[in-house]
Amino acid sequence: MSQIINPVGPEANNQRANEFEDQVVSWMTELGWEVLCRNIDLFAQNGHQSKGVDVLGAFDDPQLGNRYGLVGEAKIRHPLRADKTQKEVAALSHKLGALVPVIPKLSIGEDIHATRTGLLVYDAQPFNPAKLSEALSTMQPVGTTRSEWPREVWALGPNTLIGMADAFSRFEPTKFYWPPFERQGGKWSSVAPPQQVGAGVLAWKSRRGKVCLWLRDPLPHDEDFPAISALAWEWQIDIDRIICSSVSRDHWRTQTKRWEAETKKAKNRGIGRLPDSIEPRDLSWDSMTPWVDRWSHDEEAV
Amino acid sequence: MKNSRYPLPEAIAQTVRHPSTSLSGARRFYGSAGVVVYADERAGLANVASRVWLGPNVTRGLSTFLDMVTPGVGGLIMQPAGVQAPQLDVGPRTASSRLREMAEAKHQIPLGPRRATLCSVEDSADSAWEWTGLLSYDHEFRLKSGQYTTSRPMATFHVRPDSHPTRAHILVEIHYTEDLDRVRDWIAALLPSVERWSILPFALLDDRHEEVRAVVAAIGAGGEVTVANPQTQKLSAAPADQQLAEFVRHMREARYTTNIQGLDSLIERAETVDHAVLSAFDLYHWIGEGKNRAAVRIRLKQSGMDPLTLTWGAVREAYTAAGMQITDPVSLDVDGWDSLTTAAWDDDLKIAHLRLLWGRIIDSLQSASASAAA
Repeated sequence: MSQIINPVGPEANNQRANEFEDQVVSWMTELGWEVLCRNIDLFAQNGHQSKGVDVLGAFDDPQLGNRYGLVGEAKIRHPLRADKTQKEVAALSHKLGALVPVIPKLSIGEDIHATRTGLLVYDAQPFNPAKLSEALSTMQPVGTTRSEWPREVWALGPNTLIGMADAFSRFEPTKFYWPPFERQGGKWSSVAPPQQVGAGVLAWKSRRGKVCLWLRDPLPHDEDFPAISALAWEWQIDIDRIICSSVSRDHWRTQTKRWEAETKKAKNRGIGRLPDSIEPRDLSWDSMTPWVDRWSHDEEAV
Repeated sequence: MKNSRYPLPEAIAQTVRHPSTSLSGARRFYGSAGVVVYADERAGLANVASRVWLGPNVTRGLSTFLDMVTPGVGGLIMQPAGVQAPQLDVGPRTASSRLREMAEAKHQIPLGPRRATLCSVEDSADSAWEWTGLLSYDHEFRLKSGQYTTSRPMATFHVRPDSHPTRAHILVEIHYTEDLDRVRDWIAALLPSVERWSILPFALLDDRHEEVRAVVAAIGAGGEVTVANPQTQKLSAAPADQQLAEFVRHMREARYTTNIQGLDSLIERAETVDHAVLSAFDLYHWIGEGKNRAAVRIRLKQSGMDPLTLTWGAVREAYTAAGMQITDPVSLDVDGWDSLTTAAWDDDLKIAHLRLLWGRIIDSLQSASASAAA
């Protein structure tokens, strides 16, 4: 059947979209987020208007003690044009706003305290992180809210997806770290904190008990490496491995002396110790192969 | 660790909560980090901020967004300071070309304590300007927690020659309060002191009302222009006329909230009631023709020792809320402005419009000085 469909033509989009959505579901499952339903129209009772969502998930927040919903949309072959990205963010935010009163009434969502997080997961080629960043920074959100915890829509591009696939393949996660905030101390949980996944700064314990820290973005400035030391101290964890998806070996070589000084200082403190070196991965975003390899065969995700 | 260069979420949240922080700037900052937060109040955004630990490189861009001001433009004039040394009859013949030559020679070389670095020099895409430069500089931002973060914002400037070859006009696009000063400092450091150039901010004279009339007429380009919300200021430190009422004698500055009206009434108020000069006001004018016709509001300001700046206000199109074009004539008064519909211009369009207006101001002053010389 797949031979009849032109693999690059528009008719192949549905197949590719389904595959990508399956991969997103597997990825969410590995992060400890429970996938409640997929591709269903949640009927907005207030306007009798159907709102289709690709994935409705839920996760337990170990710090606030509540269960939260999240809505995921998977987008393939995205041109990452600013106007298109902004429209999709706005559409997902609108869906979130419309679905908030509906989800608790559903049998699958009755234990959900609130749903205020949207995830736009992009398989975009070619991908330029700066372009995505600029598109989101120039967006003027419509439908803002005065609530204590407003809606938030995270846009995750191939740098997040490939970076995590690569890092997880090297160090299989078992528990994720929820960093401290306000009066809440940091906590380990089987669930990954969505905001840290979106921010591209995530810590976990590997199957061998090693504490790993993954940083998605490049660290171009001299002050960026000492900042990792500050992070370990503030999070009050000793870090065994640091995986930097976007740091090149050449750049790392220019920073080794500085890093040695940082690790030496860190060793003298009771907590917040650092490894002797980081792992500069210098990944390319041109091919989704690491992502596909890791998350394309998990048939039992849902 | 509080002195580290990594701003903690707690410190960012505290800064976002502070009334002096731009909410839209904070939203834009988180957008650049990958999340669009639909917060209408600082408290909501601060709650989100307190939970997200961003990457070190992203947090360094914090001040780039939180310190942003409404887009505006200001100007500098490069001209000889006194008698210049004799020059060889080779090389650039105009001040504008000389500045470009020096800029290209010092391309990518940090100058001054703010390490101002020219990132690009190219012919201006705007035909009214000869060339354009992009300058980055160290910009320190103090979080409300006391932590500092440094970013390197970019200031764009455009250069064109004056009618007199030894003078050049420099227009600076202002997105941060410092932009104009940083470009000025960089040009001053760039030009060899033996050549005796001065770089002056573009400003109206103290006896400015005639110049204000000329500037307003230039911006309107012969069309309808109205004004509102004036600010008046006493410039002279000399004792005021004892004949005046005590309040007027001691008044330093007055801000008025008014409806849209004519410029004459504002000048009359400033001269006869406040005995001061206009230091700022909103200016309404038309731009475009037919379906593209739009009314624009800008703020013209020259307060104290500051130079003249034009700051973006708003734009409205001649369409009803239902999307129908308004074909009847619309006046730029309160009713007319209220009947128009807000248009969505991006930052590039806003700045391009301000550049156009600045060009008109320079052209009018050049033609005025040419006719005076004649």
